[in-house]
Amino acid sequence: MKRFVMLAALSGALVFANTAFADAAQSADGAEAHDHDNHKHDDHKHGDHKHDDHKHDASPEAEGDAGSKTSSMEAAKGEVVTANVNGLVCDFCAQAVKKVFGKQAAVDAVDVDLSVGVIRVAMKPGQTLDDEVIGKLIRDSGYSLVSIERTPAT
Amino acid sequence: MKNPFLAAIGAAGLSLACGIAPGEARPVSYPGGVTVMQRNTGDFSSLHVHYSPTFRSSVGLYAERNWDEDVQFAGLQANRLLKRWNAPKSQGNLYLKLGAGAADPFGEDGARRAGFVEIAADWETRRWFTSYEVRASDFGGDASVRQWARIGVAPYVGEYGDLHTWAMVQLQHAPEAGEPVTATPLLRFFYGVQLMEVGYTPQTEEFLFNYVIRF
Repeated sequence: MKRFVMLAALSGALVFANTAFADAAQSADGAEAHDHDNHKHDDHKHGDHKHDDHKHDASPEAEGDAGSKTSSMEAAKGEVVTANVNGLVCDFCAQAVKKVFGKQAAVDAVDVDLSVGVIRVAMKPGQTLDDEVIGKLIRDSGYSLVSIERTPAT
Repeated sequence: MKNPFLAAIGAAGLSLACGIAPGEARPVSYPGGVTVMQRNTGDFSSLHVHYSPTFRSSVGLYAERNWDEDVQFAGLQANRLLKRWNAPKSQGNLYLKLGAGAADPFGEDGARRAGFVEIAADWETRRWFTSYEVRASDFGGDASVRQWARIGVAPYVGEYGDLHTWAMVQLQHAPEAGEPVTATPLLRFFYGVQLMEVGYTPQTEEFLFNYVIRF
């Protein structure tokens, strides 16, 4: 029984590794849609293709489980709220923030930058969340709001 | 070890004997989050599934097959974030975990009331990790106290969505075990919503495997 459990555990490890490497391989494939959060197009290689050659599907649905309503900040046309937050140290933290903000009808996209402790929230055109609501959502996620900056809709 | 256990229970204000396992990464989640935690340490194998109504608490089911104490346990578990310290580059947490259910000692007739109480604390940055946990358990009359401590370092700091890797060492102190003090080097892999740990304890020649997924 004990060996069976260990074998089951190792099987789980293989599934995990397969998932990780499959995703990494997909990211390496320039023809596939890929995550555009937290980087510029000039910062990385795209293989033998141009950005105009393929569709950048950054819709919430395309992001899958990485966070509901997550899409590229570049695609946002509404107001962008940038919140400086304390306590963001891991991907579970980022996931929590994305899930909590993603439930808001006014939110179009959420981006978390762990390296500087910043959350960027792109609002849908014509919609907004006031500072008090932003602060509450961050507290409800388990973190501490430091400051808020707003970039008007374009 | 009855007295320390009862003292711990009393301090927690419990009337029912209450027991958890080590190394539970983030026993609470975001509001509405569901987490599945599966662990194999060589001493025991366990499964914990919990739901967090708020970021401060979670409730769920916990089952453990304890090879070291020859007992299996199944019951309810409640986790409470007592305190969180959020800093610009770090986070610290203090947790209380309680479990109550039934234990079925191998080779004995019938299940008995059983449970555990645990205090856990951790502090981490994106580079460093440290944690401490102490558990008092009574699995059908077999009471024990164990404690664990961990220190870890990330050889590189990835961005959100990258595969994160940690090198850690877990120290376990279990006075009643054949090897009271053990050290387990392990690797933690953290990718998206999945966390996996693989390690080996030379003193007991046992492998460690932990897996966490959060929805």
